[in-house]
Amino acid sequence: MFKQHPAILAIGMALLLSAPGLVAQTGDDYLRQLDSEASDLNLDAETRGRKEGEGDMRSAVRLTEVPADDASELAPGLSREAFEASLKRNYMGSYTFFLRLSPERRDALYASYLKDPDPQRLRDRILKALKQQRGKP
Amino acid sequence: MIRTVFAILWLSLLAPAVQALEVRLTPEREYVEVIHDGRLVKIMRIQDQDHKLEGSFAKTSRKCPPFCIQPMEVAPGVKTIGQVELFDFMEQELLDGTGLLIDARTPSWWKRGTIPGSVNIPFTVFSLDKDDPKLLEVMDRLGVRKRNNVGGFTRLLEKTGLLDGDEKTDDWDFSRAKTLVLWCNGMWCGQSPRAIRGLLKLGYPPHKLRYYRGGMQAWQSLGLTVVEPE
Repeated sequence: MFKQHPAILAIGMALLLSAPGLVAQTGDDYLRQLDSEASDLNLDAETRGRKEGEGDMRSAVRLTEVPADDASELAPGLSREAFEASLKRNYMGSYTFFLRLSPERRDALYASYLKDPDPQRLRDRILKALKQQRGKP
Repeated sequence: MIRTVFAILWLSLLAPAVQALEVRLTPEREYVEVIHDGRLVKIMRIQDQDHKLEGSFAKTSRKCPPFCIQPMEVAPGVKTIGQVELFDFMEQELLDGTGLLIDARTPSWWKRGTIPGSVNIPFTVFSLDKDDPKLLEVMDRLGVRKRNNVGGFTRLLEKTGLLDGDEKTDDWDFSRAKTLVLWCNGMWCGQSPRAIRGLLKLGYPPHKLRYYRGGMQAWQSLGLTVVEPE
């Protein structure tokens, strides 16, 4: 039929291409629409964390750059100083929490590390100690 | 002297009231701390209980396509998570460097504000050619190593289980790949689902991928802290 009436084929194709939603979006179209939607984007001002004491970036602590270390091990039997240095080097997050603990809790954690140096369990104990310090169960 | 004692007494009475938050994250958590761009950021909720959401995320409708509602399961084996699971992730894998929180949106969205602790890796990166320098750089950041000239015999042994090859493909070694949480604008956003599908196509193990479907929409509606990249 199309061989005899090529115009029908052409009209059919034109209708198909113009039908909204039927034609897959090309990558460029999608990116263009994303950018267009983002152009007038604004977030709720209250959530921006600019108010004093509330999710505040201004009072945020700039951490010392800690080099990444693939040897993510905490050797057993380290001195207190070496223990803290190793924790800082290998587990920056846990070390950040560790620094927020009271001196007594830090001492207790160091003592617990000497008995059980497993890094994962130590990190769990640090988190637990921080929660306890903040009065959480 | 008496004045000092009264001042100390007054401050000690006041202190618990200042510290306790009425709008907590969960019964157990007041806030979560994450490292963002080298700073420790406290993630909290807006404390004003009369506050109503304003801004772009108060909008209910956008043209679909492309802004269509996403399914709960983005791909088999990829876990979909909510805010509480995201807080857990932030306190564990993210802080200890075994995980990465990815804002998979294009930079035009990212620069307007993001979830603290996120890095911006647009979804488009994961559809680049496997030898593209940008993809190689990103994969390295995810803890994925590029494999070069792996012999057919080695691959055969890996595929048959005689060599450890569970998390390896012809091109990539995912055995030390980080756990990723990917997110975008929310339930109506296809950017992070595209990123996840791109990663899966590259061979990323699904059990190391998580989809925070609520994204920025849910984050904003709960009044959680956002940061604007510098």
